[in-house]
Amino acid sequence: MAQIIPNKKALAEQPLKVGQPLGAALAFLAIDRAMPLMHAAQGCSAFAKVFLIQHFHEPIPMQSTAMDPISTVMGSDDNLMQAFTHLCSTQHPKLIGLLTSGLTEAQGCDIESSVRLFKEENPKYKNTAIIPVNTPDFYGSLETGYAGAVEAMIKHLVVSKTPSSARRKRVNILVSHMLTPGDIELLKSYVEAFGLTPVVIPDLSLSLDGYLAVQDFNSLSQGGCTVEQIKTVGQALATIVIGHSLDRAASILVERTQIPTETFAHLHTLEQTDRLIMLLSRLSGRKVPVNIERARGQLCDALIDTHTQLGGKKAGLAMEADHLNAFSALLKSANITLSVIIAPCNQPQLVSLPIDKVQIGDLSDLHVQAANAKVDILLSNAHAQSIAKEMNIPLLRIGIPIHDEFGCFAKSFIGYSGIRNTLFELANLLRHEVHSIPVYHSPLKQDLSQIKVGVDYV
Amino acid sequence: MRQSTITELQNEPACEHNKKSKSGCAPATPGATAGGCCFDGAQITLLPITDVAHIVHGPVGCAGSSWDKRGSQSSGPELFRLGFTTDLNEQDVIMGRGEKRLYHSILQVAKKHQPAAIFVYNTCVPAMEGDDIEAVCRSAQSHIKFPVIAIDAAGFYGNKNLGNRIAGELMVEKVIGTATPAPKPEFALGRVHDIALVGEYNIAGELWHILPLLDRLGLRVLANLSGDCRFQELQTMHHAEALMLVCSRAQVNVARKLHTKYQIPWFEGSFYGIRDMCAALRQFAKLINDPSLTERTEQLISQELEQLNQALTPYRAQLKGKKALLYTGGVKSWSIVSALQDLGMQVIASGTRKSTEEDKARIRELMGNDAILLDETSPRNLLDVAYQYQADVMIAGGRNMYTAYKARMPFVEVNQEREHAFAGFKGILTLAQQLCLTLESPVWPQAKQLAPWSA
Repeated sequence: MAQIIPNKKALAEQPLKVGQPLGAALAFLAIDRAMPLMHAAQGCSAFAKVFLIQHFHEPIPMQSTAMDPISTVMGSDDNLMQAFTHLCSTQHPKLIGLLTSGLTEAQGCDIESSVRLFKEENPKYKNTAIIPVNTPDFYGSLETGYAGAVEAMIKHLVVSKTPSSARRKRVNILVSHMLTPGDIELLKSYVEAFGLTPVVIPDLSLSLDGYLAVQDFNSLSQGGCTVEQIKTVGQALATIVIGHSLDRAASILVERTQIPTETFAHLHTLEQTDRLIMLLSRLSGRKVPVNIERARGQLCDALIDTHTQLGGKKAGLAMEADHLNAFSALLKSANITLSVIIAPCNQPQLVSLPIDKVQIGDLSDLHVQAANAKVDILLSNAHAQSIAKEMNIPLLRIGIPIHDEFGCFAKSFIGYSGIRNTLFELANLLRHEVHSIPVYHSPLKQDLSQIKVGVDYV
Repeated sequence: MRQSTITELQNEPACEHNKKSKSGCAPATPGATAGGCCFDGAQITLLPITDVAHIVHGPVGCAGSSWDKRGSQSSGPELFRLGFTTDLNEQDVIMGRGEKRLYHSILQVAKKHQPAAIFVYNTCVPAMEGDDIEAVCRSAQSHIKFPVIAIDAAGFYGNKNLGNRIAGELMVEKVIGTATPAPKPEFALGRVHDIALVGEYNIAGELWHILPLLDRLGLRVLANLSGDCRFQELQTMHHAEALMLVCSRAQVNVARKLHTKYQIPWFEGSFYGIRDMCAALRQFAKLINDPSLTERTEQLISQELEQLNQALTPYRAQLKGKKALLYTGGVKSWSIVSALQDLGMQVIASGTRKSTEEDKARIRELMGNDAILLDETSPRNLLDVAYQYQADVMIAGGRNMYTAYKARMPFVEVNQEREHAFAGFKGILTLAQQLCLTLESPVWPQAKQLAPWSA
């Protein structure tokens, strides 16, 4: 049981938190031919766009309702209608993810009814699903925004009825923001290895995996899971949920589809990956493939090879709750002490973390507490690099944004091979500290300039 | 090198085993070797001299696979890490161009790096071809102001021990005794005494656990053969009032010759373990025979022990009764035994590769007459012994690390590639920490757990 220490500071310095709309936009960008639409002043979408471009090194479609002084005071429904009409008529998206902002939430805008009204008045745009999500940035963080978007997609697209046909090979996988496109690729390969068909909701590995398409320009998201796939989740054999931030979305899905569902807090430990593989073996009725068994043995070997390098080291973590859950378990399994834990906002799962206390705060809290605890390594997003540099310790970049490295989205941290890579990376990052004895200069040491060279017999 | 010189070196009068019929320096058995060669031994002995340019004369195999591998640390110059080699190619070998190439190599290194001295190591191919490296060094010497010294210890001359010995011999003959030390510095607590160390290589900075203690006692290390040593320091080594041979029976010839030549009293000791560390400090006091030094030594020991015992308490509780399998070579076979016993562990067996008869006698003294002594043995046998006696942890050199790991057995590395410093009082604490770290690691139950589907 962890004690949650609330943030008592007036000022956030070096913020860790990323706002809800950004998380929701991320989820929508993992749906095929989708467009995130921020119901906000222009800047919200512009900042978010640049932020995601720098992280993924990809063009990011993102639109805004361009709130101005008049719509702010007089009501913004017209802006919404205009935006819907423009997007539907010119770009024909399969899905528009409508996100609110602090401004429009505070204004009291009823997005659900605006969407309903637009749909009623414009039957010709029935092929475009419009999913409204309340994502004020004065509440929650990237994680809750992302989870809210997934929940809204299920709520609006999945109807509760027994599906007409069942697909015995299909497995739904709801994934939290903590899985990178690289993670999702690995996860899908595990499912496919058992002859099953994975449908990942939402699927970043098909949209922001850094893929050079034949087509030169796409105004919408260039891939992801399809709206049709979300509508037909009820046909699947089972649902797998990764990350507790999706608990609510998962419970709605279970309620509507009645299909067996298995939740994993993460896939960042040997134990949880074993559980996943056993589940897939059971679902498919197949034996575990040789290559997966091999990868497991490789992970066990890496755990041993790195254990003296990693064991007893102290880590400071600043990240979202799902990530904290995953990485605290991983670090504990490698005998790394969790000295400092910072979360951007309180989440139900934080209390069950295997540590004494969790500080709700920002990266300046990480800096102070990590320095006090004399940690050996930091795990956080790229903003923590300046802190790591000042403390002269390494940083393992986790989460978003990572704007100072290439290919962060392609890395995998989960499954046997991902965990193994992470252990190696941690061990390498910590390696520079090997020679822990500081250089000692003896005050009695001879001054070389005073030594007289020449044959000298005593 | 002449065979007679090699035989003479192997017949070390300070080694007691040479009075018996069976010599301790027996040649290696083809097909059953594990140790290094003569060149390896010579290089290991001298490479840590930090401001010397060490040129390995031979094809790339010799330097290429051995440069910058050992963890000797430097408090200043890093020249010794640069892995200079003449990198002889096919044409050089066929056409006999090795000498010429070496000559130019020496000039190149002298011009570019301005080393304190240049050591040229002979290796098998040029030794067999008959390159006269002595002559090349002499000839190059006339053009540059740094000493150029040939280290003729090619691989096939013999084993690593012989290499250690040749290197030490050359230092005694050519380097030690060629300079006068800097005047003694002021020391508030009494007179400064000059001492020397032989066989401490500052692996992982170990020397820096020891030097602060010596400083507190007013013991100036004139030179250490060879960890973190400067060439000029080595030249003044003959002024030492006492010399300690650190865990290195292989260089007993250095101590003996310095004694004969300069009447330096010496003793053999170890910085590993509480008992040995205390004994080493007391030995210096005894040999130097300064009552004030003896008093300071006792004071320092009691202070250090009080602190150390306090710091060790939690680790001793965890280590008590744990069984260790020790497989290392030479003097470490007893010095580490005593260190482990100091921590409350039970040593079930100790390796005696490269250990001399004296070393073995010391092990028996520490572990009793039933002690299991493992001479050159296979990894398979090592594991079988570990299983048979239910060892909790294996302590050995890097090459056996993965033998233990594949058997899912906790392991601590103690040989020259090790990454932690175990010498001195602080080092004992580090050893205890490292032992606990591996013994208590949660990775073992994870790695021992078979895949759930294979049950």
